[in-house]
Amino acid sequence: MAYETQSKKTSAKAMDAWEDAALIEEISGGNHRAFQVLMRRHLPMSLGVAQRMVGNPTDADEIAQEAFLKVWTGAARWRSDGQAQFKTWFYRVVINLCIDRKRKKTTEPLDEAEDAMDPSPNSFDQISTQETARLMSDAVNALPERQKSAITLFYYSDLSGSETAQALNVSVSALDSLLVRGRRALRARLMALGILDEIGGAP
Amino acid sequence: MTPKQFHKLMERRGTNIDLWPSVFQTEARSFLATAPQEIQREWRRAVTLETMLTQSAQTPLSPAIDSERMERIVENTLAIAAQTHQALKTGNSLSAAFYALFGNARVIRYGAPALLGLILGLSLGANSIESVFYPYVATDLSSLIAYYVPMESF
Repeated sequence: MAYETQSKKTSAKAMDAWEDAALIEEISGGNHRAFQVLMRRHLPMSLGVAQRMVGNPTDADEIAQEAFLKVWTGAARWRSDGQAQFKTWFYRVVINLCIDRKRKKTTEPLDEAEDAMDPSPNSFDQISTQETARLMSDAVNALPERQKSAITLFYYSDLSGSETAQALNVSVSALDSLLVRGRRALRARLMALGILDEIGGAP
Repeated sequence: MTPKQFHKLMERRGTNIDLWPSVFQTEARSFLATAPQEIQREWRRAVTLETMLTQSAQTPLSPAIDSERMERIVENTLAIAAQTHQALKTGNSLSAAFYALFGNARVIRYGAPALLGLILGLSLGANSIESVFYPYVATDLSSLIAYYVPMESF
């Protein structure tokens, strides 16, 4: 009880140094400040992963919000047993929400469609970088869900290989296979578009 | 090193030979230097793909994940969380009250069949009453009253 009283007085700034598990413990007791700290810590990366998975910023915002609300309502049930890290569990939630969203959403209303790219970049480098990112994003989006999840978490999140495997609930070797198949499919797609040969694969 | 071995390592370990198992590194480098053109081309494609993936991961998303966007999500989530917390508290109080009233095993054991029996009895009773009166009266209440209650009483 003394700990609880103490923790409620703790400032958000002091909580910044806390580990995820300690914050979760606080959140399970309804501590908004701890929830805020955890959100600020994981929001940028989870939002990035969601946006790359669903390709739509509005959906990505909603997914990130829904994922954090799951943390809020499920914090009491979540227990760190040394194996399950919060980060990997949380990314699994985000990925599952993205997959659910894609399944439910067969059509995209026009007003929710992603903004077209700014046609007036400052330099050729910027065009090239943005164009590469867009092409890659399209190619990744066309992958089957499991490969897409593996590629997105492996390349676009801060998770390590083994953490990615944990987040996807697969073994490390299964993740390797997903990545190999994903890269192979990406290579085939980009080659079909003539991009790989054009950029760097030309003989 | 055979082309098949090289290809497998390239797919599994990526294009940074430094990260390959050390026993293969020297052999792989010399193999690549003298490899047929098709293998070299495939190698360059794999390198390009890795570069593109890394580059696209470093490219900021559009719209950017700026502080304004983050703040909006944090505020919305906190607002919903506060409502959820209140709803959970109310829900918990209601469920505690329910258990206090009906949580007793004896109440459930004897109370539920008794309640069911009462409902069934009432329903059958109502049907019987209706069947008694049906031959004489119309189905509506005013006709029933008109039949049994003499006009003088009004």
